[in-house]
Amino acid sequence: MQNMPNPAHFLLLIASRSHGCSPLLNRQTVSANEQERTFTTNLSLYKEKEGTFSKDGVKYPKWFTGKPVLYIQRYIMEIYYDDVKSKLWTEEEMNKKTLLHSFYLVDNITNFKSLSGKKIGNFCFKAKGHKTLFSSSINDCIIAAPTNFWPNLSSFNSDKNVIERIIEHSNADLLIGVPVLASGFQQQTVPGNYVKRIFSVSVVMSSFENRFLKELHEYLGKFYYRDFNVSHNFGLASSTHIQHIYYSEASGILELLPLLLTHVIVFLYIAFSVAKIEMVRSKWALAFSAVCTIFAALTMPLGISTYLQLDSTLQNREIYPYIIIIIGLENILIITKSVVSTPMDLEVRERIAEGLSKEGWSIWKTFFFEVITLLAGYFINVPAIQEFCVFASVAVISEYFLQMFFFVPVLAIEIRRIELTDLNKQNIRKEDALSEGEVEEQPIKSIDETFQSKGSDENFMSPSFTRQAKMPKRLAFAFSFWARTRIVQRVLLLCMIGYILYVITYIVFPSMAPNGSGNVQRVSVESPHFFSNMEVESESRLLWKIGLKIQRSVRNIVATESSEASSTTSQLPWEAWYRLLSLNNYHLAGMHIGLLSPVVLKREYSSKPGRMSVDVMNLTKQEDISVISIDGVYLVFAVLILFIIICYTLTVLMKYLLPTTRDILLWFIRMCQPPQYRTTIADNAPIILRGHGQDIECLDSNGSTLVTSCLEGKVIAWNVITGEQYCILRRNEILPLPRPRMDRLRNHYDDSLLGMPVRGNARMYGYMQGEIAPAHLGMTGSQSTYFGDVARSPVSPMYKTHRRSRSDEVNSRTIVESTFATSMRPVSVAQRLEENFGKGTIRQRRSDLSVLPDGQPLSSVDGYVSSKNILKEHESYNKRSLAENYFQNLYDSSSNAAIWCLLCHDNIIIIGCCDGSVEVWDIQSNYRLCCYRGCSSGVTCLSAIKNRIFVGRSYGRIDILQISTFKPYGGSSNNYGNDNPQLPQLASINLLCTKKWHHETLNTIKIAKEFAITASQDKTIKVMRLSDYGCTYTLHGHSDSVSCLNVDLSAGFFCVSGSADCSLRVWDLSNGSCVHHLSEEHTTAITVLECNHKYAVSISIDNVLCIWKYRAGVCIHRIVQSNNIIGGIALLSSALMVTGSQGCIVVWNVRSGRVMRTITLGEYDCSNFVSHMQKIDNTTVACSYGNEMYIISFSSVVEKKD
Amino acid sequence: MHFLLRTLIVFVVGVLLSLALLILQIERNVALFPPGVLSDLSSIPWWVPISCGAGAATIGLSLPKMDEWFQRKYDYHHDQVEWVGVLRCVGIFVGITYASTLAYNSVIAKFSVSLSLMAIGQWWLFDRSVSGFVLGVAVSFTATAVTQIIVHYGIFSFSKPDFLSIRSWLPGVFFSATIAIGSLGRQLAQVTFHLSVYQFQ
Repeated sequence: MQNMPNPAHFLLLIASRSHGCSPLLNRQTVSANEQERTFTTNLSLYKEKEGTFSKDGVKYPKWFTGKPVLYIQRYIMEIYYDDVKSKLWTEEEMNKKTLLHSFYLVDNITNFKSLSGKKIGNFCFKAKGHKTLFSSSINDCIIAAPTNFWPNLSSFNSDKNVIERIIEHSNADLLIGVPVLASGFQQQTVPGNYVKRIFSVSVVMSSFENRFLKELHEYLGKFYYRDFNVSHNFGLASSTHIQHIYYSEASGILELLPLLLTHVIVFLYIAFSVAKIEMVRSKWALAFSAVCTIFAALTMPLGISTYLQLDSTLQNREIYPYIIIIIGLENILIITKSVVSTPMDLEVRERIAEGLSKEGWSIWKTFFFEVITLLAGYFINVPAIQEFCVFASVAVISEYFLQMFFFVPVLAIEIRRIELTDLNKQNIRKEDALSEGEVEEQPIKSIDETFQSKGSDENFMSPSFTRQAKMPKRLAFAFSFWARTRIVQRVLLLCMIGYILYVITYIVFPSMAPNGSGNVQRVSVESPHFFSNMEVESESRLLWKIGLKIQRSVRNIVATESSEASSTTSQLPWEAWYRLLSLNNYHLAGMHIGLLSPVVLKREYSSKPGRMSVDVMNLTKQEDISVISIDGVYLVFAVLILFIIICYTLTVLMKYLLPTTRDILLWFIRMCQPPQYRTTIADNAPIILRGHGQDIECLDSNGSTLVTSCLEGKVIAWNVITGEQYCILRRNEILPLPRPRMDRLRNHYDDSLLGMPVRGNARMYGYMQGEIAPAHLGMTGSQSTYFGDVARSPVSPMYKTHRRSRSDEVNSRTIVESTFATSMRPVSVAQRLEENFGKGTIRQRRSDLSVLPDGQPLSSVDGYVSSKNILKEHESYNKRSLAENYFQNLYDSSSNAAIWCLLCHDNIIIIGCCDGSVEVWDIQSNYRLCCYRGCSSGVTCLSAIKNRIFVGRSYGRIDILQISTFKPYGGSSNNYGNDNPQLPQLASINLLCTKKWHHETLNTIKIAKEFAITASQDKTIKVMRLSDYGCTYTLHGHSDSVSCLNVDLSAGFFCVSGSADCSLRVWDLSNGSCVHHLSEEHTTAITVLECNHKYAVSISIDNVLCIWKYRAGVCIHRIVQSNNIIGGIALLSSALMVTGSQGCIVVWNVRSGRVMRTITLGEYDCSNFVSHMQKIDNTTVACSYGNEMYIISFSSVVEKKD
Repeated sequence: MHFLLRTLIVFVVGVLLSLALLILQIERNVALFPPGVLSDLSSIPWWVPISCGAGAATIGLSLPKMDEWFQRKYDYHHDQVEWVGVLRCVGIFVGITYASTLAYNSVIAKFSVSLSLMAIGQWWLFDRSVSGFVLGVAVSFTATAVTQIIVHYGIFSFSKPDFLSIRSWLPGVFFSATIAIGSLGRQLAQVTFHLSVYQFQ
């Protein structure tokens, strides 16, 4: 389970996501897409009688028809505390004093009675339905004021924590009437400084009563302007304009068409993209997570910009499609494809790492270009586009972040799920337990100096660098310059350090920060959002300065608002009124309202009257500093986020660009793994097998037995563990049995069949002279079974009993069935009989036999055949012709043809000869079981599965032979190599199928799964089904003879082929495609190829040895061996390889490509070459050395690595 | 048959895109028509979508032909059908048109240059063929000239003309449109090629 992604990652991810998006919850969305939705008219145009505006000479917008639905009058209250007072009073006291004024003000407004006796209640806008939060206690008027935080004055007085109540309220800005940040309630006051608090009271009126308002303002002026003589802010003098705000209705279908179109495009785009995710277990889950990634990438920038107080003026639904198109899904597809296509046998983390490293460069390149493009777009001085560009670049960065931290873990889980179902893999793991620990190099005693290991230092060469080699020269130069000087890395690091230092000084020493109030005057009326405050100072600014600009702009907004300190400041966004009214169950969609110029009321608490006015004007400059210190929380967030993103980008950059840092990362990954064990190889004396007179030609092993043949045709079977000879096949000797004559056969049974002990009731030991048995089945008439000499048998009475009962038909029948049931495959016998005896006669019998359960393996036969009933049916068969048929192959000639190939399969040895004969020998009895001579062209390769032998011949024919053996001894006898002919076996061989399979000589046959894969000199590889011997694939691709072939079943169904055209090809046999064509490293014909589940090793004629990670199609080592001819190879585990050389064998570490040890062979003569190498098991190899055989065991010692 | 189908598809896409973008421009007060236009669907001048569709069909059919002229080796046998790229390309075209409606006269020169650069960036990202570039430049010149003539005859006008009597970002938008529609046409040619191959088999 250690491969499962850490749950902490997910927690972190979820936390960061939810944190990033939480501001969205408080976001209000207002439906209005009119760009010019506000319009200002002069008050002089107002016709009081009709309540409308005159249309003379003024161009009104389309929507400006009729009179406004309602009017809003704001009273902005500014309260100042001078240095003495702010020292005297605590913050809480000041806040309370400030807010107390709101109660007075609301009270004054609602209770004011004009000269004509009207009150505000007469024409204020009444809240509909139930009484809402905003309606004042009198007359249900909608008055938005800080008083609404509390139900009444007494609860305000008893409230201990005023500020908390304000901040926690969801509509705080509406109630305070100014943005909370500008109100000053939230900010920390510095004792001894001037302190300002602002709030406003907004009265919503259904009609515009100019005269009443004038009177009201004059009345209010009595309370608030007396001690503060700033006349230009006073009263209706400034209230000469009415701002009309239009809230558009829900758009018609026609207006939605452009939006609809873009959404359709985006939908199709996502659908097509997601459909391209392939080769994963659950396509839907991955597609879902891909869409999640996109969605999160859209919401995160919103959250981030809200943290940064960047209020987006663009309509989200309008810009989202474009952002989706810009951020794209390509990276997700690329990552998926590249990770999925990595070798399946690797660990998940390695697969992910390999997949990412393959595509890292291109992904990063795309990312870089996108950000650069967006930056370029930023320099278009159109605020909307600038905003879009910043938003999109944040989206691109967060998308990148999510791809790495969200999508890749999901992919890892996905792969893990596939792995859990993959049982094959675990088997291989067990088998390969040796290779789990890293194989350490031991001090090498005799390093061959001529070995030139190329590329061993570039062990972990990153793919981006291999790709670099193919780049054009200019680019290559640029990249080499880049990589050598690491200029980007250094510049970015410097920028980072500078940036962090700047931010730290900015936060810690606010007074030292450059004063941003110089930009204050640049408020653009045309575009009211944050970018308007920025001046594009120089177009050559770097990307990382964007962050600075954003922050500076935040400061500027605050500075602007506080410095103006008049009607244009502390404006609520235009949608605030929509919100206010909709909270009172009134919807302004499709209507326009009139916003009267706000009235600013001021009040100061000063100990020194008279000085105040000047001081207040200077207040703002000091003010913005304290505002920023409040802003610090947001800044820290922003800085943290930016810091994480930049660090991550840097890490990724380094990882993909610089191999050394990648090594460090790999090292780090290894450090995180459980303690590793080091495997060292113990010195073991090789077992020397001597017995051949000539050089050894062929060898094969089945794990416990090694069979060798030499040039003179002698075949010896050896015990691998002890080195003792099992037997020497006497191929040149005359067979022990003379050629039987047909007339002798009947008597032959009496003479030659021997009875053997019977253990228990049902289990009988008996044997027959092997070659004769089938004939006997066919030929003996009523006397089916003979038990000749039973004197040796201690329990011979049992046999006698049996013999006595055989006349009984029923009893005999049961015996036949029971013995068939345990001894042999009835169908195959039936088939064979059918072929030998003619089809018509056996059919009836066969149906009987096929009822019997299938037999046990051939080696565990303990019984003999009483085939009386079968034989009865064939009495009429021509005995003579049958006997001739059967015996002609057995006794024709002694076999001394040259051996071309050898196969050790179970307990039999199969020998393919140059004259086309195939001999089958039994190791234990040292007898030739049978021989097939149906074809005269030489046998070039052999393979066997169960009882079928695949024989490849020199002119492209393939024969499938079936042997049927009866092995009465089950390996209990010790008479190996004995001349005693008393223990022969029953066996017969017959041809199942023959095919002209290739046009040229077959080079090799491999059997895997349900297929036989053949490689031939006719440049093709063919895949044959074992079920019906049909051709599944013909794999074209090699341009010369396919010399060697290896099949890997560890994950999927792959095969590697080497050819005389100097190339290797990796084939996926599940679909017959060529996965890799590896032609770069070898320059001459490939002669030897070995592979395990991870590596393939190939040797070409010019002694170049290449180690491949063939699934990835990468050559990891290319070793040129100038003098010594490399003979065979054996891959012991995934990490250990043995090659033969002159006078020695060399042990290699496959991963590092280094020589671990050289073992000298030959006590006296070191001039021979190791020509053949045979892997016996994962720790043992056998190699031929002249006429000697060496069996060398590399038993490993596992030590904990320090 | 396939040719007709291709023509029809590109034509319909052209009509739809032109309708949508026309409405966008009218909404944003970029293009001014005689009064009464856009009060409902039927009042949209019929000749705009039709001519735009015809233009789209011309571009979408001529770009694959031009590929042959410029000997661009298009791997039509390649099985992968890259609709994703086409959709992104069309999306970026819509985005560029959308951006063009946001232009302010004060920075119009900078804006138009940037927009043209973006269009060229779009070509570089999605096309990178000589034929595409040549066709794009040709179309942007021709279409700008045609628009100038139309405006000259007073059929419609721009609200804030800054280059003769048209907008200076027009060539860039036309170039972008050529790339988008061209990639669509090329894709269709590829798909129908596959279709015909499969039918033949």
